[in-house]
Amino acid sequence: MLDAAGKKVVVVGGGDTAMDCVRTAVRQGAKSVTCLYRRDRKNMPGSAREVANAEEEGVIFEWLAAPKAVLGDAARAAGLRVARMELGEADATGRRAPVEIPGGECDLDADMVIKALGFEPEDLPHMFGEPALKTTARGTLRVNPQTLETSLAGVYAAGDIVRGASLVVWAIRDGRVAAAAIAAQLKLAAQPIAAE
Amino acid sequence: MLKFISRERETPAKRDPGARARDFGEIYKAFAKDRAAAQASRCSQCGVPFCVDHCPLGNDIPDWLKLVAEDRLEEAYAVSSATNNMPEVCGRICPQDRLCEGSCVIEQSGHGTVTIGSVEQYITETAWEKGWIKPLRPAHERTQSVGIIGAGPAGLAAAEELRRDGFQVKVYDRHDRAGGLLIYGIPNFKLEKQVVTRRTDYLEDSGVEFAPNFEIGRDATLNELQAQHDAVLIATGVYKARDLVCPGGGNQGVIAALDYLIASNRKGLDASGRGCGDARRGR
Repeated sequence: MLDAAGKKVVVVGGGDTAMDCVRTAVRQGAKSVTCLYRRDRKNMPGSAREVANAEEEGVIFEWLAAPKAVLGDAARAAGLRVARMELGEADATGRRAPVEIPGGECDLDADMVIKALGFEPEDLPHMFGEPALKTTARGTLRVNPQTLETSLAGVYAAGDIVRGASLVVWAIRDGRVAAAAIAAQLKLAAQPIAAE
Repeated sequence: MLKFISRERETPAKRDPGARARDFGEIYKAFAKDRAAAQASRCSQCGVPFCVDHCPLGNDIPDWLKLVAEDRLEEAYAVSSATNNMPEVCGRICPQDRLCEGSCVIEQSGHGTVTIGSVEQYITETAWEKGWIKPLRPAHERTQSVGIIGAGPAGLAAAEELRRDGFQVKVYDRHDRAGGLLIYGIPNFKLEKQVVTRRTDYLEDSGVEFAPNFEIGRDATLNELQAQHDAVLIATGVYKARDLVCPGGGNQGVIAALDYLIASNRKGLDASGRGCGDARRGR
């Protein structure tokens, strides 16, 4: 089921993960690979280099296109109903929000539909059995921005679970910041500074 | 240096699209020595290097570019690795166009940026090849230990820094291999898995302990981990796929990107017959 060989694949989303999926599908021998993104090329969150590489490898991009419904039955996708979009007014973040063009929808054949719409944090306080571990409204862990220490003393957090989905290079940075804070704290605990 | 006036920007050659679409090998060829030096010498050594500001790690890019141009590669590696735990990974997968290269001063002046990422990769690949990267042997072993949950880039970077400082480090991960999204998320054609396992092997040789197939909440509570270690670092990443909100969006036939990528990467790794940490346990 997770192999694209011989299939018509549609990937929904425009980030780096979507690019990884379309290019993997090409290499698995998919019959066709289409990427659906609701904004245009200029407003894609993914790296322009990766989009160019995907295009060279034969991926078809449907810009300004958003899924309206997954066709087929509950167990198997048979296609997508796609709405045509245009870029409307800028939203609060300054990005122009995609708005549907009425009557512009069409159907796209697909044996395999992949959603690459981004990632959210899991419910760590629940998974870890630790309700005292505080999270933000987004579900990421709440930390002291200087030390990356969480609401639990001696427990630190770094990378995407604090930042939300981001780049590897930011994760490395966070790991280094947390390591420095942990080392400083543990050295102090091992050898307390004498009271004056 | 300052060769940007007479020397054009060059990027490493890319494999032909038809050929590369048939396998999972990396698509960019590595810089050869003379080309890396030639491209590094295009750096203008400007007074206010925006590339450094726009690097989350604050990498001292102009310094190591100058060292590469002067064929002082071992020093270049020392400078590059002082701020980055895996420069060969960043060189391959960072969106340089949005970070260092996008803010390069000669890019702004219309000459085309220095190809920073490719030179960064070249430096560290050379360092591995020449044996300049040796397992850590901390001058002073500390008895205190740190438990790290998650063997992705954040967890691995922290593990190396703490181990360098002499702490005892144990990295827990729910997957059967270390590396997190570097191993199971990013496909081979962008980052060959041997590049990641080389790093995790190096950490293991440096004394970092790995506990794969270990899930907090199932195999131990967070509380138990706190009791075992002097500090705990949570670096689990974000794994929950955002849903497709439309009729049929919840159908079984709709596959989450990460499930798809993990299955594909796993196939490649199993075929190559060797993981890291876990697989080396039998030595």
